[in-house]
Amino acid sequence: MNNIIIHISDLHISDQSEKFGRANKSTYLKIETGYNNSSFISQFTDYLKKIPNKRKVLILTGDISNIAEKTEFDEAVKIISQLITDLNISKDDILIIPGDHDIHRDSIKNKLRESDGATKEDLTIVKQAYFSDFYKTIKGSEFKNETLIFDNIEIDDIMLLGINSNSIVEQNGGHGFLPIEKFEAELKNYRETHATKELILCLHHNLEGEHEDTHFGQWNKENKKDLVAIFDRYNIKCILNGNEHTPNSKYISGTEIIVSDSGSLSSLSGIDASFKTYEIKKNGNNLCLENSTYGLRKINGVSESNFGSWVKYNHEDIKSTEIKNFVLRKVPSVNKEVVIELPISLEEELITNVKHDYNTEMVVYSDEPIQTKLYKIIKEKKLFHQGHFHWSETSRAHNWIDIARLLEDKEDLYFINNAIIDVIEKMNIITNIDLIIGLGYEGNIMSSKASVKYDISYTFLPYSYRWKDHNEFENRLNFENKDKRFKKVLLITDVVNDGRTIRKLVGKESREKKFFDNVEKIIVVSLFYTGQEEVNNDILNYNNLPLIQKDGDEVVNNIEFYTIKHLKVEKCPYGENYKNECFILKDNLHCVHKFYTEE
Amino acid sequence: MIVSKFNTGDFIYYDLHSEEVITSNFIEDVNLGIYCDRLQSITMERISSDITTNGTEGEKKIAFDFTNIVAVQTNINSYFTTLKNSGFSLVFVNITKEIIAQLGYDSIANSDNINSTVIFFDKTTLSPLKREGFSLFYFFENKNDFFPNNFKIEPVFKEHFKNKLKLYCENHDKQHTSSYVYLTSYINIKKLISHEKQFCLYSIIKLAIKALKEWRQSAPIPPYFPGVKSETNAPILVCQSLNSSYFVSVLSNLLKLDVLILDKIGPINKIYNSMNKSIIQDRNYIVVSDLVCLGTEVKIVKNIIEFLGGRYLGNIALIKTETLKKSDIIKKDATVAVFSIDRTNNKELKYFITTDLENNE
Repeated sequence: MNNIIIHISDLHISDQSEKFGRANKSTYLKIETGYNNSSFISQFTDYLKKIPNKRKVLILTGDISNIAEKTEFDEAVKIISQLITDLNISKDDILIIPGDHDIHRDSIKNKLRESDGATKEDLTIVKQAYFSDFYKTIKGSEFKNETLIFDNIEIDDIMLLGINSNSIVEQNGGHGFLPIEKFEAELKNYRETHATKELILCLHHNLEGEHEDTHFGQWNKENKKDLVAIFDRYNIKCILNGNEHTPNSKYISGTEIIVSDSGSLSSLSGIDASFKTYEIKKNGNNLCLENSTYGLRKINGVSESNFGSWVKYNHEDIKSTEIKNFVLRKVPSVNKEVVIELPISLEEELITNVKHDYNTEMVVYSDEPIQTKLYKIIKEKKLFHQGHFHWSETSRAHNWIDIARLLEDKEDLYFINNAIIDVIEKMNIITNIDLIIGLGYEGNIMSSKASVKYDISYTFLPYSYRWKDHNEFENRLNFENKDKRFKKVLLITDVVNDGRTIRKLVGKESREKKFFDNVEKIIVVSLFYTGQEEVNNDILNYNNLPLIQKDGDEVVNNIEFYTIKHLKVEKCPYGENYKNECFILKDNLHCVHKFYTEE
Repeated sequence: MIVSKFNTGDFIYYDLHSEEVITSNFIEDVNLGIYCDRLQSITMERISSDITTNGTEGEKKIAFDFTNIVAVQTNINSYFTTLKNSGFSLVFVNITKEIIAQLGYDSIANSDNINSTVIFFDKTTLSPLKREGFSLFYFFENKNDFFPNNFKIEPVFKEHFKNKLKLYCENHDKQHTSSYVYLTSYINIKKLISHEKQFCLYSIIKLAIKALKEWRQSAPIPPYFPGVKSETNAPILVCQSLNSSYFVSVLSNLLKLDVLILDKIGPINKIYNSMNKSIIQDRNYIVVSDLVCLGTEVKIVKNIIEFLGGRYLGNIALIKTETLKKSDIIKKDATVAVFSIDRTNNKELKYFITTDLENNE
């Protein structure tokens, strides 16, 4: 389970009385006689509670109120208090950033009316006075009017910086702006004091526009140009903002800096209400945020609440507007070919002893909640068996996972189909895949969602060791590959041990060698890996096998492998003469399960 | 990927419920099976993209069938407006007045629009629910005659099915693997699934709806509420071949039913897994097949289920062969299928069953 950042924005809590200004009719959060905001917040927090996490922090990127009146901030105190209480978030784990709607314009006008000589500092204090009171009530500390970077949260290797972009927002409004020298000095200080952290800037105004024709969002044009240079200088890779009411993420034009808007949490009409979570994923020295977007689907049906239902958007459906992974730190991979060029004896030693200890990047699938749930089902249903299990003369083990039973319950089956999708999505497998193949009954059953979700040809094949139990029509792949049309193939199966079955399917003349000879890359995804090796994406390739296993195997070296769970099984220790040496078999002790027909 | 698009010759037809089923269950995680009934914008996005990308073979008339759609997501009307602005003539079929109002089209009064009662089936009881609506709803155009008032998609679907099957009927001329007869053709269902995935999925959705109609009212298929495991005797879908394992997986998602993998019965029978084959006493079982020819394999599975104490509820298949006259078929033994090979089409499909015996001529 990882830490998550929850990103909400643009609540626009609006006083509907219109006593001091126009009411926002397009918000779920409002002040109106007889209206209670708590049910909307409860529905939101109930949904959030279901998202697994170790620690969560909350980022609120501005426009908490609609016209920055005291009444709106009084209501905001109730709303935010309920939110952080429900979610059990400490006040130190919340960043509250002011937006342009949190600037009280009447206070500026009044100050100017009172005194012609009001300084910029005076105005800065009065325009944010109601927001400051609200801030202090929630955070328990004063809002720092005098600094641009006014707050921060450390989580994992990340430091989230709260930034006030309202410098030039005055009585007549105004875009985002950060005085360059002051900002650079403050940012430099953070960079120097937190050299090992990835700094993420959290502010209200959008630097890039989803709706504007230009690339300047709602930011002062000249100021933005200078800022981009500063972001680059201080190695900023990600900025979280609000203001647009449209969830999206993109690169600032011409840079590798990602900007991410969560959309408006309370949008009643137009674009659906939305929020985001960023799961912090660390693998070795790689660090990224997995960006998930959630929307409040207003369906007007009978089973939803009056607000609709929160749903997580599938990344495939929003990939044109959202970047899935915000890469903050990536270790470059090292060319592995150097190992293969060594003399054969030394190569073998390296493969067995150092194979995954060299400077090669480990590429493995990891998702703790999914892996834990899968293992839990195995334990609860008692599907890990002991005995003698034979799949062929050479493939024998003392353990067996009963996948057929694992797939029986409709909810478990649904979960497993989704788990396969998760591997495909997380490991970015689907790009350029030309064909998906479900292997065996179980692989075919587990692949159904992938077969429908992706508009890619799909077929299925029997397990290699069951080939003779099927007729010729069942054994046919039904796709020709003379023209090398299928360059990249995804093979989905239930269990992989040493990969021999797959190499046989791919490399044996009597199986599908003709087809696979013209395939450049075979990606194998399995529920379980039961072999002895440390899992990595290259372990099924012939060249990576220990010498003793190579005998009689097919030479296939273009397999990329991902699995959900590694459960080692005990292989049958008897050799070729196992029928005489093994007393269980010899004395027919009735716990031998054969999954093939002996010839 | 669009599953329900048919070019009828006069217009392009889309079944919005089938498309929503695909969106909700396979693209998103709404997880309501065929019980989903709210049209989402993402579904219309897919359809719009299909029209833009794959075109309509020059056809500028489109029928959107709203059957089984109870509500729509807000702002979905923009898709229809865009199509209208691109010069398409549209007709909505079986749409409620409530949806028309949600779409903002309630001010349209076209004399060609036909008021009618739209019937839904209650998700819990399957009792018919009536709502006011239109069997046909046009926009502002005159001369709306492209959609016949008595149009039914079923004959179009069956004609498509037959034409597709012709492509996958392979010369066989060998004895049947399970029965002592000869078959002139082998219908390669696996190839059909591989090469006609969209059409197969539409057929499986149709099969799910048929199964629901067959067994919901008499209670065996209970209502589904996500996460609630109250249904005690919901039928279990039995898979007994490689082809049927695919159908079972999709059907489990659509009907929200558990599954049982009964290893391999037909075309070659091999049962290896003797452990934990969990036929549960008095539990209902539905056997899922790809194609039922003479029903031998179904009978084998039925006997296994009943021998081990389960209840055989029936058999569903994509295709069945009707070797008996309809009047001679016993209802409880009848296979529920979306396509029948019968005396009206077997000649065209070159599908004949023969024996070595002399004919009685």
